[in-house]
Amino acid sequence: MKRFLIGSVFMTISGMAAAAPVISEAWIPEQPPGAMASAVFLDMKNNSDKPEALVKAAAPGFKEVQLHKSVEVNGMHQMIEQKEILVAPHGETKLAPGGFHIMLIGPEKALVAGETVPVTLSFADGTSETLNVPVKKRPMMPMMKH
Amino acid sequence: MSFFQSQTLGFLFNPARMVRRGVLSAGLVCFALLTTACGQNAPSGNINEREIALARLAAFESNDLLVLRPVSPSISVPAADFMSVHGAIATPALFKDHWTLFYIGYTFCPDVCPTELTALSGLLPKLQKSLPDVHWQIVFLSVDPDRDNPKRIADYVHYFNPDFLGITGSRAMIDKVTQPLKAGYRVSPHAPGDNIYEIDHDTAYRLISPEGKMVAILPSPHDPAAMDQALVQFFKEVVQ
Repeated sequence: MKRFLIGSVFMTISGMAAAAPVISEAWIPEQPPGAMASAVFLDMKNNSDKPEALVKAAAPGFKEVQLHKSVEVNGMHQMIEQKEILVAPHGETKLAPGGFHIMLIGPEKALVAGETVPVTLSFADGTSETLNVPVKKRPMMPMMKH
Repeated sequence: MSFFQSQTLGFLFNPARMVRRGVLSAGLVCFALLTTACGQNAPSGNINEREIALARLAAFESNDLLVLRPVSPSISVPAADFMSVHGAIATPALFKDHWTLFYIGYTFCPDVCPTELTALSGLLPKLQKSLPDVHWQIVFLSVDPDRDNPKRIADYVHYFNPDFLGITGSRAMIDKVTQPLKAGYRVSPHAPGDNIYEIDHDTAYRLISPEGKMVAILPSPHDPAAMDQALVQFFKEVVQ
């Protein structure tokens, strides 16, 4: 009940009809020259009592933008296209190397660290949000952990 | 290694030479002549030429099988012809004079291949420090020859480290090498001419000896510090 009240207050203050996930830590790894694909990584936090989902992503300057998940089965890396990426109520879903990512396919020009790419995210509740996502060099240590 | 060998062979092992693949075969001929000449004085041979003792490989117990798994008996890399940006290159000659970490992938790969090549670029300087006598070579085999050409592959791997070697070849040559090494990959079904498709692929690094034999597998996830330790143990107990 308390949680519901807090949720209501939050919604009233923010003036939003629905609570789309809060996005943070968005970045695009700089890719080698000529690379035909890149990825958007970010954190999605759902502060509502209902499940949420990222259902679509779009960015200008790419042939195609898809939702994907990298999985590893018996030492074999696979990429599986996702219809949606869920965020549980009061939960968090991370799009990170070796897992969920937004795949940017066929860039018109190479992405260089320091640039930003406007990425529009559409959610299951009908809302959408456009972020200016920075392109950054990959950290030396991989973040892949089972 | 004897003083004589290190002095005599030192000029062949200048890392700067690695970028000049064109002189590799000439170097190999010289090297073969020299090792024959040196052989009587030092039967164990140079670490970058030495054959692995199968008994020591069989007896090796990895401290962490999730980081390094010995392959015993070792598996020979078959003879096959590939292309790099420097021209034709063939196995097993490509492995001579070096210890190689071999990785398969494709440049269209947005996530895992860059992650793995980044890990390799972190591992290489560690290995060059902890095993300074070993001449390391990182070979990336693209299993996507339909979209990847030697120039594209070179641009891709050199972004991570200018010494990485990128190769590809015909589907038949790729399979000839990847199948015995059990480096599996699968091209997603796609319409002819469709340029957007994924390739599932093995993510392990394979340790190949100078004689062209796979002697260990380093499965992912790849932690450069852990791999460095594991390879030091492997070289101490099996190679050195």
